[in-house]
Amino acid sequence: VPSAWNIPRNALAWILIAQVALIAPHIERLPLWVLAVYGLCALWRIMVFQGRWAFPPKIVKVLLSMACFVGIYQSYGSLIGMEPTVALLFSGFSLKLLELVSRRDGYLVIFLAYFVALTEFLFNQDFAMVVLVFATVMLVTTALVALHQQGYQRFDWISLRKTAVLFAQAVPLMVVLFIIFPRFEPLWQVPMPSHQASTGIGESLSPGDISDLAQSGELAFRAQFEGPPPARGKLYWRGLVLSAFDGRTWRQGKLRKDFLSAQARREVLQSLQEPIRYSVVQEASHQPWLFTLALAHSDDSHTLAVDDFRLVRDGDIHSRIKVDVISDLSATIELELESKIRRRETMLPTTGNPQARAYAENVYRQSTDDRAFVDAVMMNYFQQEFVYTLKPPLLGEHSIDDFLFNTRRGFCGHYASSFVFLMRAVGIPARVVTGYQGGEVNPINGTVLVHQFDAHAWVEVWLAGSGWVRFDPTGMVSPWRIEQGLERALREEGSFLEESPLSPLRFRDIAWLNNVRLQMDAYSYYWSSWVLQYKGRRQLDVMKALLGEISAFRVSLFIVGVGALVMTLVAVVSLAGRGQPRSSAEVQLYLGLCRRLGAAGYGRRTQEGALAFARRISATGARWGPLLLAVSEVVNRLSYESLSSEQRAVLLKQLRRDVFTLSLQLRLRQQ
Amino acid sequence: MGLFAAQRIRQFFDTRFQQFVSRQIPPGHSITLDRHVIFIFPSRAGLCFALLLLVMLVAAINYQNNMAFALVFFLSSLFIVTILHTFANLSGLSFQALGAGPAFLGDSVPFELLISRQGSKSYFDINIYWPESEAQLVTLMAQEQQRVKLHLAAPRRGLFKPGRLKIETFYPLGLLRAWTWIELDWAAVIYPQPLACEYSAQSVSASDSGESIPVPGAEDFFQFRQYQAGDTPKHLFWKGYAKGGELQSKQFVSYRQHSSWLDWEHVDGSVEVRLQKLCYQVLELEKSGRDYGLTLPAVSIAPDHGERHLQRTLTALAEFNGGGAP
Repeated sequence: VPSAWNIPRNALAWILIAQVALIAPHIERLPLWVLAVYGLCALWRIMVFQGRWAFPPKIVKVLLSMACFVGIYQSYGSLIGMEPTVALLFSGFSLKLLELVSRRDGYLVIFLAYFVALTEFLFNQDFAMVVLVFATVMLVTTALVALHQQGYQRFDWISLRKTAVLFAQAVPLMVVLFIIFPRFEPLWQVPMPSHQASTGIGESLSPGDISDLAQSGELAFRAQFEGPPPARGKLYWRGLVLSAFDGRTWRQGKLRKDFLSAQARREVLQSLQEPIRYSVVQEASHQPWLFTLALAHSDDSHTLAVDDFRLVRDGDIHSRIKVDVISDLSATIELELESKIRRRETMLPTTGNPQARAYAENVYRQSTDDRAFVDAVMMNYFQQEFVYTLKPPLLGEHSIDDFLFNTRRGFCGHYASSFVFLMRAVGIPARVVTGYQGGEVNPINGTVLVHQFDAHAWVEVWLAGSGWVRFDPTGMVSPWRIEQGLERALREEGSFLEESPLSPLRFRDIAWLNNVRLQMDAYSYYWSSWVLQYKGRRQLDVMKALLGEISAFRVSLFIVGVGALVMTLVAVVSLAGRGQPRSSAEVQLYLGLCRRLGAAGYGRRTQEGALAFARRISATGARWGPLLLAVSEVVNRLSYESLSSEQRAVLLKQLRRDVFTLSLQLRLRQQ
Repeated sequence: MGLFAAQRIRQFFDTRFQQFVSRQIPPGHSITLDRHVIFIFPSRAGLCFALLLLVMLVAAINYQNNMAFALVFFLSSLFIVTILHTFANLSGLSFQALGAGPAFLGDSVPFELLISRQGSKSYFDINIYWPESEAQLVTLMAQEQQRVKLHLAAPRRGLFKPGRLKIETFYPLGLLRAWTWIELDWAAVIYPQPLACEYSAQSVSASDSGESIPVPGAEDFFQFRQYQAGDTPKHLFWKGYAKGGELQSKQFVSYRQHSSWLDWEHVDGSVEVRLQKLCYQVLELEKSGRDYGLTLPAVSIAPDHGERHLQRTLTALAEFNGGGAP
């Protein structure tokens, strides 16, 4: 029962270091005051340790805890959710420092630290983050080791080295468990990161929305095609379909959009004549949208299809996910248009933008059919002096009029928006589609990388006999944008990623730098598809390859086998030099011989010396008496005389021979 | 009733376990720990840790987060691997009894043992204790061995064999406890607690023995001596000096009695009180430097003095067993 206990100096130091390392990745999502509280508590605890301050009185601790609760509620507007939980954990962490008196308190702080380490993964599972978190866990464990070095207390590498040994030995078992442990469906609904700004394409489209996004070099998603990826100009990643216009902003619309029935989804699948298979690895966007090529189908159980033929997730995407998709770029979409949908896709505000309406009616009158009208409108963007720019001027009350006939400077949203307006003005069903266009093919693994600056808006027009047909008025103004991407399209303006001067994407001209970037991305892709997405079919495939077949017997054999192997190795390493004292070779040989003699009825008495024993046996007239005398003399010489190593070797050899001969004689006699 | 039954069951298992331990770990003068004698089981902290792992596993499942799974599996493997490390932190340690006691009843009895290791591996935070003693913490790093002193309250007079000594460690992670009980063959002699009393010692007089041994004192005149610097003026023989003789100083002595006998029959009280009184007198006599002997119903120790005689005498008192039997 250890008596009065004071936390070892080294344990306190390691605990504080580990806590700082734990806070670092969470800094962006913690309010500043939580960090301040931690700083205060840490300082206070150090002062207590140095004997300068006393532990705070209970009332101070109670007030501080209450202040933390209120503060977190104020900062997040709730105590439920992932971010408030993390903030609460950190506050508890800080305040517990002020009560770190007994070893039990030490355990509590350290166990809490393990849990906090886990929460880091709920926000980010990148390889670099995983390395960082495991390094932090190592610091936490070192604190635990130091907590049990009460008699040592020095803050040095000894504690860390012990942890490193433990870590190295724990890895194989972890890998085995990771491979075989079944990934169950969630047991219950849990709060997801709720206080993080959603990124990427938004739910609505106003002039200027997408040009903000174009300033971001962040990755939106990756796509891995089974064959070679289609040409860049064909990569229109549909995300949202916007059908309602209020004169300025396009939205999904108040009219309810239905999800396709299982029957309708099967029909979509059957209509895919030339299927292209690929998987989309979507980064966390905190929105449900998936980005796929038209016409798309997915078997994924968490993926839904909307009646405008796009795929969405059944919940917001808070961490990187992977969805397998089948698409056919040439499939016709919705040859027959229901009246409900026709009404939805032709609605416009009753007033506003008179110039555009008049213009559309005028052109429509001169056109032979809908198709000719569409072409004429498209040509108009080409013929008039439109400019593709990230910095369009602000538009007046009649935004479409202002853009088409006055400023004529705009980004993709302006073109798509005005185009659909012109279509609907003459009653042709049309809608704005937002998503991404293009992407960068990583030559190392063939992955298509789609960044936020690839965000785009285009148009779908319904034509009798063709269904929904895609038109991209932006391409009429800036063909570079579609064929080569935004960077080329904005070369003259020089505004590509203007606000992120250090983004590696700005330095794609520098070959080695670009290579490093693409290599890193390839690793990142393997990481997420093989490790982070290791579950379901992939897990079954790996286990089959490893075990031949998946049966309870083989799985347990695998665990027990690897476990036994690892534990044996660990035992050999850690128990070396920690056994019973071993007697010297001659004593072992002699004692072995005595055992055999004892079995043959010639027991050596306790406290009887070797020579005395031999003389007693000789006196009985036993045949091996003289040999036993010789053996005993040699044993005595080896044990008590100082001999050179050569002499020792010669005597030992002689002893071995004699003992062998004697044992043989004994055995022969017994038979 | 239920409580009583539970106690009975517990007692039954405790006894059985003690018997098992006695068979498994026989007493010895020097004991080296190996896998036959080391027990290991998760500590309370280890059980809490297992609970934490369970919570973390549920979080990993609910968030479908593979890295959270990885962390849980990693910590579980760490737990398993630590079993061997905790075990290794006891394995190969040797315990050797160096000495025990003596002590007076009611005082704490010192027990000294030597802890040594076979190889050169470090051992951290080994707790050594009896349930009723304070624990001693031992760390072996650079030094091969360490002496440890433990203290136990002496329960009764006589030869005191302490129970099994507990050796325990939680290193490295505190999640597991490795422990063992060892019984070293050592015993401490517990003397009676001295009780102040009047002298009952019977002097053997100087005339009886025919010898007297002068020791410096102030009682009786002994002889004249030639003056030496430092003699007190009080003792100078002024009369003689005045008569024209040499300056002489008078020497005085006390006569030490040759020996004293302490006798069981000459002290009163219960058995224990008698022993306590005798103990007190033995100590006082030893302090005074006189020879003394002791007579107990079955034992007689001839007069003598000195450290060894004192121990012999006190041991006789300690081991006195009622006086009836020889």
